Amino acid sequence: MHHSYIDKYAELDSVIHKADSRLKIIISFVFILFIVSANPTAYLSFVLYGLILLILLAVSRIPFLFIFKKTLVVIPFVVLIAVFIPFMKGQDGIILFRGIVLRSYLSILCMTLLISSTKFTRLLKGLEQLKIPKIFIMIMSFMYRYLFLLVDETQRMQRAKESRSFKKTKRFRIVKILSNIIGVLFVRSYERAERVYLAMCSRGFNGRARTME
Amino acid sequence: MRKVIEIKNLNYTYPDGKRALENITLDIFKGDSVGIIGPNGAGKTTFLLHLNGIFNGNSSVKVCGLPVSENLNDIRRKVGLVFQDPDDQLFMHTVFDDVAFGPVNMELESGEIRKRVDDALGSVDMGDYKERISHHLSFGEKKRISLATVLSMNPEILVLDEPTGNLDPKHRKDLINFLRDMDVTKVMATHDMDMVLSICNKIVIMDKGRIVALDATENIFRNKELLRLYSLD
Ligand SMILES: Nc1ncnc2c1ncn2[C@@H]1O[C@H](COP(=O)(O)OP(=O)(O)O)[C@@H](O)[C@H]1O
Ligand SMILES: [Mg+2]
Repeated sequence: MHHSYIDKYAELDSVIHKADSRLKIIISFVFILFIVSANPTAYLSFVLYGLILLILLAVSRIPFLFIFKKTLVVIPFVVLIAVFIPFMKGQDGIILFRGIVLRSYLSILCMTLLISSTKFTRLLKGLEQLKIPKIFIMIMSFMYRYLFLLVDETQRMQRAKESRSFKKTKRFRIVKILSNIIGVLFVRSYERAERVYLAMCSRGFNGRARTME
Repeated sequence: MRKVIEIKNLNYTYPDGKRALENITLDIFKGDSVGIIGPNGAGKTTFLLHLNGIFNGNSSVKVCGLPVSENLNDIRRKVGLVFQDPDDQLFMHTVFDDVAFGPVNMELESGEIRKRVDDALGSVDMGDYKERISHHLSFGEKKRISLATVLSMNPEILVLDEPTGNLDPKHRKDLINFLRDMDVTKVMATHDMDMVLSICNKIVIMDKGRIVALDATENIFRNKELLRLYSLD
C-alpha cells in the first residue's frame, strides 16, 4: 500500500537537502524559538519569518502543495484554542488567538520543512550526535516505524467495511462503524506494542537503550 | 545426549482466564529439530514464548540445566526466538540497527557487532540490505531479516514461530534448505508439513493446550490414523 510518507521528497539534492542534519536541527530550533517569542502584534516579524521559510522552501524544490497539506495538522490545535476564546477575559482575546495561530503555523511550517528535506535516518543520526537522550530517539523511530503500519491497518479495515456495505449507509451508522474501527485499532495497537516489547526483551533489552560504541 | 530444554508439567493461563497450556512435559536434546504442529489456537505460540522466559507458567522450564525464570539474561543469549509477524520482530528504523540490536545489548565491541551483522545478513542472502528501512521492505524480505536478527546473537537454540508462513515458494524452499543445514537445536511451530518432513527429527502435535502426540518424525508419518485425526495428511 502506498501513502505519502512525510519524507517522500527527502531524496532530492538541493542545498537544503545536502546540508548537515545537525546544522538543520539547530537552525530550526533557534528559528522556532524566535517565532514563539515574537510579540503577538509584531506582524512585520511574522511576515519576515514566513518569507524566510517560503524562500527556503523554494530553494529546497519540494512541491509547495505537499508541504501545505502536511502543515494542516495544526488545525485541530487551532480549533481547540478557538473554543476557549469566548471565555477569555478582556478585549484582546482575538489578538491573542491570532498571535497563537500565526506562531504555531510558522513553527509547524519550519518543522515540516526540516523533516521533509531530511531523510529520517539522518535526522535520527543528527539528534543522536547532538546528544539527545537515546530513549527519545528510540520513541521517534518507533513512531515512524509503526505509524504507517497503523495507516495500513486502518485502510484495510475501511476497505473490508466498504466491500460489505451495499446500500448508502445512514449517517448515524457511519459514526457507529467509525467508533468501532477506532476501538479495534486501539486494541490492536496496544497488543502490537506489547508484542514488540516482548520481541525487544527476547533480544536482551532490559529497559536501557544502548547504542554501538 | 545432553538435554537442552526440560519442561515438566507446564501450565499457563492467560490473565483473562483462558487456559492455553495444560500439563506440558517435554525434553529436547542437543541437536534436535522439533516441529510443533496443531490447529490454530492449539497453544503453539504460547508454548514457544515459555522457552526464553517471556511467559513463565509455573516456572517449570529449564534451559541448559538453568531454571528459565532466574536466569533471563543468560537464557536470552542462548535462545533465539523469532516472532511470527516480522513487523513485531523488526522494530528498529534500519535493517542494520535491527540486526545489531541483540549484539549491542550483549555489549559486544563495535567491530564484532559489524562482523556479526554482516555474517547474519549474508547467511539469509540479504547482505545488501543493511541501510534499508524496515517498513519499505517486502514481506519475504522482512521474514528473512527477522531470522538474521537472532542469528547475529549466535544462539544455541533457535525457536521459530511459523517461519515459512506466507512466503513465496522460492524463498520458502531457500529458507527450508538454510534451516536444514544449520547446526543448532531448533524448535519450530508450523503448519508446513513439507518443512517438518525435511528438517525435523521429532514432532509434537498439540491440540487445545495439550500435547496429544510426541514421537520421531517417521513414526508420526507412519501413523495414518493420527494424521487423519488431526487433518495432517
Ligand atoms: N493475549 C492473550 N490473551 C488471552 N488469550 C490468548 C492470548 N493469546 C492467545 N490466547 C488464546 O490462547 C490460545 C492459544 O493461542 P496461541 O498460543 O496463539 O495458539 P497457536 O499459536 O497454536 O495458534 C488460543 O485459544 C488463544 O485464543
Ligand atoms: Mg501462533
